Amino acid sequence: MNGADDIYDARIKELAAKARDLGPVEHADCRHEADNFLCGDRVTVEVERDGDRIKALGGKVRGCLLTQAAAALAAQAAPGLDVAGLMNGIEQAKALMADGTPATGAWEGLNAFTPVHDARHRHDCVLLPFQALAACLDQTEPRDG
Amino acid sequence: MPVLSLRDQFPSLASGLAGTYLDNAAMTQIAGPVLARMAAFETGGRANVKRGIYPLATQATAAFEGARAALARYLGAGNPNEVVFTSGATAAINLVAQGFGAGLAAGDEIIIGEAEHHANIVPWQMLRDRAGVVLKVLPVDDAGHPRLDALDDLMTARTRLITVTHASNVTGAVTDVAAICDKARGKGVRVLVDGAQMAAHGPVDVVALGCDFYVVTGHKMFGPTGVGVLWARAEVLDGMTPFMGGGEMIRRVTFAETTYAPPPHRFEAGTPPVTQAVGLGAAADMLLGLDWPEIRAQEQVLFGILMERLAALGRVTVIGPGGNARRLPILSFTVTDAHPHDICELMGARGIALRGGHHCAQPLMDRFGIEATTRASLALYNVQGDIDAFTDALDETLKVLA
Repeated sequence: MNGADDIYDARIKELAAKARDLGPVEHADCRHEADNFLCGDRVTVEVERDGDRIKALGGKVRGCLLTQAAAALAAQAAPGLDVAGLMNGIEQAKALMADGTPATGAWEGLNAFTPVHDARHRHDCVLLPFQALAACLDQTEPRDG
Repeated sequence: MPVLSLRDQFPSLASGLAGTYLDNAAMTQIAGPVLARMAAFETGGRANVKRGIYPLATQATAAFEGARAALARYLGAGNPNEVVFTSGATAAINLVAQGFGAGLAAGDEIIIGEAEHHANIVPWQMLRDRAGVVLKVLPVDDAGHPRLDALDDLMTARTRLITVTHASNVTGAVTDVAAICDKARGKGVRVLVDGAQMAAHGPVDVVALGCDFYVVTGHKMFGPTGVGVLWARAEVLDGMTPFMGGGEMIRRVTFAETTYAPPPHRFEAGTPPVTQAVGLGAAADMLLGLDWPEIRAQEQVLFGILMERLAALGRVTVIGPGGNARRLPILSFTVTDAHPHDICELMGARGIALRGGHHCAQPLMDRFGIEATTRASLALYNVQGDIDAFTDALDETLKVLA
């Protein structure tokens, strides 16, 4: 077992496999495409809301195992949360990558990505789906003025 | 010189610190004689160049101009004044896009190879946006070689430049530059060749190729970073306006007007990267002294073994030419259900330096319908042990990702 192998533990691979089941959300309220400029990977996120609640999160992932796993985790955790809960997940993902802060609550599954904290060059892989999600939500939020 | 002895000339390899280094298409390791020449310059010969009249400055200028002459020899150019030092190949292409581009008019056409690195695409798009020139694409075939048959249809009376890579940084496919130059010659069409990859695999002969511009970079030819070269025919350089102003690129300055120095100094505004240029000159001298037929034979043997090992895995698709002909030992591949970044991460942890991604050639990725590849690229110092280590690590890596 090599240090980098920890990144690819069973939980991550399991999650990544679920990314294949992601698909378009039929009545999406927002859609956003995000690119990883380093490698050209691309995540498309689509969100359907029911008032303040997230009804469905789907999309398409063209990316590495970490990006796939992160997208699948978001799709798994989001339904039923309100927008604030989803934003909280985005913040928790950023904090986990930035300083290793463990995730809690509905986003505890993010802790599968803890070994990536030490691989700074892969942070963007994990965060790409969350960046897409934040931009997607921004499209549906009321704006000032 | 046998390859194993040659390897000793590279401190990072001799010490083992570079591990199994197969990312030579991105950056080669630096040679000991290059480091020695730069250290000698910095410790015993450092002074600014081109204008100083005290002995140290005179020596520094001689070292700088000596490097220019070495690069001219390496590129097969008879006239050192056709060699312009830049900060790299990208800067050299941008220099041409600005200087040569200034002479183009809206509606003039430039043909760009489909296999180009972004550095040989974006400067031309910037020129298009500011000058209204028209960009056309020379397609590649399924092996990644430019389709010369398409060139006749693409060229018109408005074509002013064809710009192609000498060898692809993704597929290793070598372009038949001489054939392109033959088609361009006599039609008022200039040819720019991006030689960044080719220059690490032996001396080049720009005269035999028949091109008008040739660019190389130090960090891909066993030299320092931050330095590169634009070679251009004297008459072409003479007709180009400078890209940047200031320093020694002038003949005379008044507040009314400035007249410019002749090439190459016209294109070397400010203090040039003197130490790096001296180092690059040392790299060119070293490379000129090597037994290239022997090195090329060794590279081909190792590359053949690498191809066989990959084919034996069964899940691998090689992007680019299938055999050893008309190519450099640069091998891009995809593996079913394994992303290049995951492969490179795990290979890197096992001491194997590879590159994964789009290699700054996204249009070529689009051509092949892929997003990214894993790339192993060989250089003159690689040995059989590197290929064995690569194979062992790849076996382990694919098991981890399974």
